[in-house]
Amino acid sequence: MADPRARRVVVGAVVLAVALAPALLHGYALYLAIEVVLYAIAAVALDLLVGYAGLVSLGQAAFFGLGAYAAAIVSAHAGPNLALTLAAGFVVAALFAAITAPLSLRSAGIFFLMITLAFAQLVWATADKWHSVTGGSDGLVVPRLPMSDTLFYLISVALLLLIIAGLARLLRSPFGRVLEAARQSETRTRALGLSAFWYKYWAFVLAGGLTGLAGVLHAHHRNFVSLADVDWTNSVVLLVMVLLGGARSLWGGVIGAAVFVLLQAWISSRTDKWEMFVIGAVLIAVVLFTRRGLWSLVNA
Amino acid sequence: MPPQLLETQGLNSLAFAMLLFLLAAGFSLIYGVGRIANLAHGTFYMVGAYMGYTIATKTGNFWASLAVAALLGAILGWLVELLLLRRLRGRELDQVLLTVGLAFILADVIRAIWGADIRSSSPPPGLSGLVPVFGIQYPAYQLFVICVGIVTFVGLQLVLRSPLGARVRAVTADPQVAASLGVPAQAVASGTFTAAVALAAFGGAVGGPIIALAPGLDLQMMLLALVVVVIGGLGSVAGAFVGAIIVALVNGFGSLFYPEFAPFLIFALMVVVLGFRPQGLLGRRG
Amino acid sequence: MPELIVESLEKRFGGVVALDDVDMRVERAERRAIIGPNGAGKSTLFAIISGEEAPTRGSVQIGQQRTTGMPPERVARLGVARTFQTSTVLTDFSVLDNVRVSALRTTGHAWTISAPLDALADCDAAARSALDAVGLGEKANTPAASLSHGEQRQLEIAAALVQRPSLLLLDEPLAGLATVERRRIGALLTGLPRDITVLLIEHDLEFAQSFADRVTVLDNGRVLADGTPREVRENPAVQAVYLGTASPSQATIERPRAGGAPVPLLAALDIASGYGQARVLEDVSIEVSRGEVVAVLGRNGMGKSTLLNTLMGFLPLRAGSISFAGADVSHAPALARARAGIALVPQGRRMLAGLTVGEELRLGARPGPWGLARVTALFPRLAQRERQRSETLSGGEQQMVAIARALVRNPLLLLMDEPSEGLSAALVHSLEESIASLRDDGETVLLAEQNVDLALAVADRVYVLEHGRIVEHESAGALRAHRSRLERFLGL
Repeated sequence: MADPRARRVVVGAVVLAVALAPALLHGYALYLAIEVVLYAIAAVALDLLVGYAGLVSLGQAAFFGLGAYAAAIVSAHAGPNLALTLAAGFVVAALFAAITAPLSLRSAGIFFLMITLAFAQLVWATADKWHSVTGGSDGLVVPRLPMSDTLFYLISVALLLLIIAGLARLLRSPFGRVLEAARQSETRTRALGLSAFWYKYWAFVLAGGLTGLAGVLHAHHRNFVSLADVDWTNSVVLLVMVLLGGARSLWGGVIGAAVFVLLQAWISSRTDKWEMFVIGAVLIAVVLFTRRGLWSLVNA
Repeated sequence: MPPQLLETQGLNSLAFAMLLFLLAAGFSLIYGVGRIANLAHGTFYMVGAYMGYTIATKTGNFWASLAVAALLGAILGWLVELLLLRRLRGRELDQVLLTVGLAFILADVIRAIWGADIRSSSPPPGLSGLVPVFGIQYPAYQLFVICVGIVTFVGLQLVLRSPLGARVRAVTADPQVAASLGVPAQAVASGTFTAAVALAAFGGAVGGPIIALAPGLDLQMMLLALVVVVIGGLGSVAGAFVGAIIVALVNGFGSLFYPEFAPFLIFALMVVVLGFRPQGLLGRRG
Repeated sequence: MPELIVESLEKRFGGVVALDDVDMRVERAERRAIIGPNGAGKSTLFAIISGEEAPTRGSVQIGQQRTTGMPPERVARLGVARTFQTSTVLTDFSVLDNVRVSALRTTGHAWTISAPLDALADCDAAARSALDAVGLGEKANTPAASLSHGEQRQLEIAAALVQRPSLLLLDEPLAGLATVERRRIGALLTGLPRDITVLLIEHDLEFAQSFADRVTVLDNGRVLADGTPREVRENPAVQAVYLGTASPSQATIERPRAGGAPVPLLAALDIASGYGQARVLEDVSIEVSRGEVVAVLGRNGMGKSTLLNTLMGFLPLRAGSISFAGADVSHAPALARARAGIALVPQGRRMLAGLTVGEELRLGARPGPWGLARVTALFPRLAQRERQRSETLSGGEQQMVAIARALVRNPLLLLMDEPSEGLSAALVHSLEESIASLRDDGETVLLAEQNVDLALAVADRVYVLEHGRIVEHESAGALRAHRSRLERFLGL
């Protein structure tokens, strides 16, 4: 379906279905829908890094977790306030990205992968040991937000759509084009007098902050924050979502998140044992058999 | 702090360092020869540990368990390279992701077979007692592990200096020129992968009596091995040896003196090295 | 007012000296061609000027600004634009976007996030006018990946021009182009605005000389000559580098052919190959019989290395066939060809990092008349260096290792890709003796060389490659007698 109109129809239908969902879904189904949306935010952010900036990060769990913990801590002190926790989560995550990026971006490829993993583990280790602030392995309870699940869902969807629209605009702008140019040929980009480093830096900080937002939503969704949120499994899951949906398109992140969350839900309804197996198998399948993920099928 | 405690901790760290070395050396070689960052390496260690445990408890023969674990590791490594990794030749990122998927699969398989309970194998009867060392009574098995590590290090260095080792280094340096000189780069790469995985599994079986077997062992060992390799230098066995000792000592004494900061110290160390000397202490660029 | 001053520039890579005490002054609006054989240091010079590499010693000044050690993006901001030897076209973008992105900095939109790139009128106008100037105006909206190799070169030139540079570095802009495209791009370059200072590296010497106001000749990292195209052409040292010296003392007695029909060992028929999109070899047919020494001459960039790399199996064959020792090896991997008996002394030596000299020699050794003792007798210096890491040796010594490690394979056919590169005159002479003795022992050698004297002294037959095609095939004896025939292809 290379026809852009057909593509827009599909996307429009999906958006419509998603927006109408709360009227049709309750309970567990709504729960899952919220899960899809918040992971989609994180996946789209990673998509920006992987598909457009050419940076494959295995450390997104750090930002996700930082956002979640920020939400929990702010809620504990100032009461559960979504606007506040979203702001706090974004800032904390973006700050961590801003501080660690200069070091991470000095390396490329495999090394970048490993250093992002290392930084994420640093966050995990801190969360584990700093019991007084993070609750360590016990985790933190997040007080409920004074809103219905449906409202929460709609706000999350709005946020997701806003983020996608904003990123799409950013990617069409000169900044986005230079970012993609740096991915294709860093040599040429630098020869144009443009510092590839700074473009990647800001993309990394933005992606970190957005992933933090996802973490905040997750904290309010589960009403609980724990070490599992900063676990490297989370980083891998996000990467799987991006690859599953197709790294070269923002909507691919949404598709990947949807497929993955639903798949995982289905598996855990059958058995509590094979979750990681399925994640691994899907990842291997995607790597071996597709080059760009499911979105490329729609995009031809 | 009583000196005996420091000494015990020091020796414990050295023993742990040797286990890390067994893991890191293989990881380093795989990367050097094939440019593959095998993030399933820790899982292969775990496979070896569980296999070793089962065979040791079922047959009562500890030494056999070591041999079988190594053999199974070799077979597993050979199959993985042949059936999976070879298809992704040249696609480095995809290879890394494949190994991640493999790690997840193997971890779940292990959990399905052995469950989530913490297990620990026992050292063989000959090595289960305490031995006087430098003025303290110290578990004989830990000393054995230290010896295994040193012997392996010396052995690997000897192999690398040999004509066979020269072929491995040649493929690491320039696979094209190596091929034109008659060195079968593909065979060398798969042979190295097989041997490295066997070494990891062997390490797991050797480490059974020291480090408890439980889900998460693979991740724990993998991350530390990554740190070792980064600090010591990718592609360098000597670097893996030095790096393992550094990491284990920092980890061990860190846990003793600053239990809250110990993991922080190690990862901070890795980050600093990656930032300022990406090739590691003994590695080479590229 | 000089636009570019390079002073005492030195660049070392390990034990190899790529540039040695290079001085150069280029005036504003001057057109300077930089020529020289392979390995002369031309690309390294460019890399240092544009900031990709930092020199080991010496300085670079562009305009009033000292730029030594500056990173490429800072140098570019001083008004320097460049094209690269290998294409850096952004293949995911359209042709127009490629140029628009290049125009961002000069139109002040490098950090714009509020408007889409498409909507920036000034950027768009600059890009379109650059595309028109290079003749790609109609292809503005096509994907850059679909352009032919020549068109991609045009695109790179447009991308460079739109930056409104005061200094333009062109790195082999005509490489890999077919004749028609070469003329087209050549005309485009000649028509560049006259107020831009242009530095041009080219192997196409006709073009380089017609384009340039002045020519700098590099050889082995040093400046050999510097002057107008005519001065350089008439400089005997430069002529020697390209044409060799026709001194009679170097004439070799032609060896009587052994009785019986020649036994063909290697036959390449109508082969074509190249790198990426570039076509380098076209319709090349070559034959080598047992016991022969066959030379392939040609200026650099004409396809000699591509030919040898294709014969060794490093490059896939796009057309034609190759047979060796009676078997078809057209699509055999390099390992199989090595085992069948082809050995290669690669261009640029290609030492194996981390191996000692001794290990390199023993790595591929096979039983036969060439053992360690014999190669050490051929290159006595290697005996002292046996325990040294091969990458720390000087260029000349590395060349010896490269030849020796191929010889110990006791191959049926020895491919040598510019073995004289980087060797001093004395070493070249001893190389000549070595190859002559190989010939006398009945070894079969295919020698790609730029050093005409060396090639003519040892070869039985000579092919000449120009722009990827065989243009001359003659016995060495005939060419020794009539060197002037080579001038057409090899001279300035």
